[in-house]
Amino acid sequence: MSTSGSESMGVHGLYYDGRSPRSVPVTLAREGAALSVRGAGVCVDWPLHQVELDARLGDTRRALRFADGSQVHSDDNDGLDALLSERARAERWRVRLEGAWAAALLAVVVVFVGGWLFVAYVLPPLADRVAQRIPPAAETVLGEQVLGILDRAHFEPTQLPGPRRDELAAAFGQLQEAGARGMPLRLEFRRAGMPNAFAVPGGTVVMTDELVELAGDDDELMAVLAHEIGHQRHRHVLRGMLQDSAVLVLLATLTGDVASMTALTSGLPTFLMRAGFSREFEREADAHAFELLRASGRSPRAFARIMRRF
Amino acid sequence: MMHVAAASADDLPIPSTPPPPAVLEYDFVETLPFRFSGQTGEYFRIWIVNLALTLLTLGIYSAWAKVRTQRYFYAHTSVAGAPFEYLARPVPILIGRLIAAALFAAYLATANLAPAYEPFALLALLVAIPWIVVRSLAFRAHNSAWRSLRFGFAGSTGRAYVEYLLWYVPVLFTFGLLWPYVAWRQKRFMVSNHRYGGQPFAFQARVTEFYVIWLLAIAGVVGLIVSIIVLMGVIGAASGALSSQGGDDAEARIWLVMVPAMVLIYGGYFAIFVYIQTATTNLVLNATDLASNRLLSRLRFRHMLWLYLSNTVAILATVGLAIPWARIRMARYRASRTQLVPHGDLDAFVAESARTQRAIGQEIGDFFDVDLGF
Repeated sequence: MSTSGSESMGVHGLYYDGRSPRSVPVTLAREGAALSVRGAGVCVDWPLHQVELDARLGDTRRALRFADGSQVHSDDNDGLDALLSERARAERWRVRLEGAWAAALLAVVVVFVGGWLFVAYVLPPLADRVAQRIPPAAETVLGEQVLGILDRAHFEPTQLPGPRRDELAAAFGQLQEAGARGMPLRLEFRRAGMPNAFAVPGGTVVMTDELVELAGDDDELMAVLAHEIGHQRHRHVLRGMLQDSAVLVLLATLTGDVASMTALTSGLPTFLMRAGFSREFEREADAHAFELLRASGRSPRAFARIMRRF
Repeated sequence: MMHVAAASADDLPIPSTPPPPAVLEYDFVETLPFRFSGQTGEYFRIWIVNLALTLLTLGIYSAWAKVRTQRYFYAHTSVAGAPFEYLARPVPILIGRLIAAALFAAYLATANLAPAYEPFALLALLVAIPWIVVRSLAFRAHNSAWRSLRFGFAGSTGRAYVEYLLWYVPVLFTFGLLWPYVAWRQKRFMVSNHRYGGQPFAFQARVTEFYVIWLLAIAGVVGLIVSIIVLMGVIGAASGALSSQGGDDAEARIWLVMVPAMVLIYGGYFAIFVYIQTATTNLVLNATDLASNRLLSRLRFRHMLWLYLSNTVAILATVGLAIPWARIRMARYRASRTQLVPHGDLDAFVAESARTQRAIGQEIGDFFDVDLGF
């Protein structure tokens, strides 16, 4: 559609006066520092500083907009670029990028590699730095709220006898002392309908009656608790939540621009990434637990034993 | 007065869409189809480059990317030989997105660090929705144009609070029976407050038409529940027989039966959702008119269902790379099933006095995934 003679013939377009949708075919030409517009009943010259030109987008029709609201729409993108060559030069980089398949392939690589790098190497340290700034008091408050919600929705009071609980709490205290000093951790008991133990932000570890009943001996229980102490010492719950949130914000920013057809397509990446983070945290907790158990004279293999009971 | 040799028809370039007729006057009912001329190859390159630039600029470029995407889809959609235009500038969009991001971060902070207060944060969000709706509609309308005239949205925020907040109270009290009526009110608010060329749009749908869609959807849900109950019964019998054989194998076999059941459940609800979307879009577009010019929308449920399903599968299989293809496909189908039924002189529209709207409204709307359009 672009001919080498278009500059002498002028650029063709449709003129709109800005008040009605009627259009008049016109021809544009460059006269020094002005643009001339000629057509049936249209004869006007515009100084360039009163002319705006839409950025080029592929081969789509774009408009020249004049100071009085009138416009000229044209499909002759090459011709428009030639008319206003200074402006065309400024945005040539983008038109080239969007037009070349080589650029597109490079962009695919950038998106995948950059995205993965960002999520794997930039987000976690960032989230951790934020986690460090959060005062322990805030974590405690958070933990209380979380436990409160869990108590209302899922848990029932424990049915373990008092002496048994004291026994386990004492062993838990000894386990703590064997490891790195930190805030004192508390052991809580609940009945939840399934064997489980987990760390709550703020220093509480919750163990369910069903887990106590499932275990073969106290070594197994301590193995599980050592693992949970590992999670506590490394503040995994808080870091995990922050990392998840950061991924959410990143995805939301990108998918705000990208059409996601169903909830599945945006939920899946978060789910996959969380699985990756968790493995990292599990390794940390396992390493910490290993040290604790060895230092307190208990068998680390007890952990494998109780896992097999599930 | 200077005159260049008058341009004749021979001098006109060959435009990408057919040239508009000299006078747009229609004496008889004739339909003008919408056309979508976008190409997957071209759009993929634009999309991926914009995505890379957005990533490299940590999201700042997303406002420019949004403008280019919208311009692309608008410019490739045309009716009566004339394409649409998207006129928004990137900087107002960027400001809106930064504000939206800050609000979103505040909501996340509340949800994660003070979960007991999350309901309050959610409530604050709900209260802001009618305001967001009005700003978004106004921004989008004002920045959309056809044949050089902008659209407009004249709905007031006060009215939006009535339609998008207050009317939900009776819906709750009637256990949802009033929902189609409220949906009708909201669509009426949305359509009848849009303007083009000095004229308001009119909304001609009746409340009963909304109830028909709703009742059919309910019937679909009931049918789905019945078939799930039947299926559960079959599964119960089957897994009973399977697990009695014992061993780890039984668990695997049970999953083999459960997975199709879950597919049926999700698939069923998905299909009902697509039905509601399709039927509502048709209903609203068919009921929209502008100075007696009408729209005709004939989206077919099974086409839309197939499109949504295949798009989702393709997007998952290509880790997102098929998104441009899916969007082009959907735009092409929708345009092919939409027509303008003109009446009278399409040139008789007049520009409205300009009003500037801030970008914030629309961008917050997009960011929080509030469904605003058809």
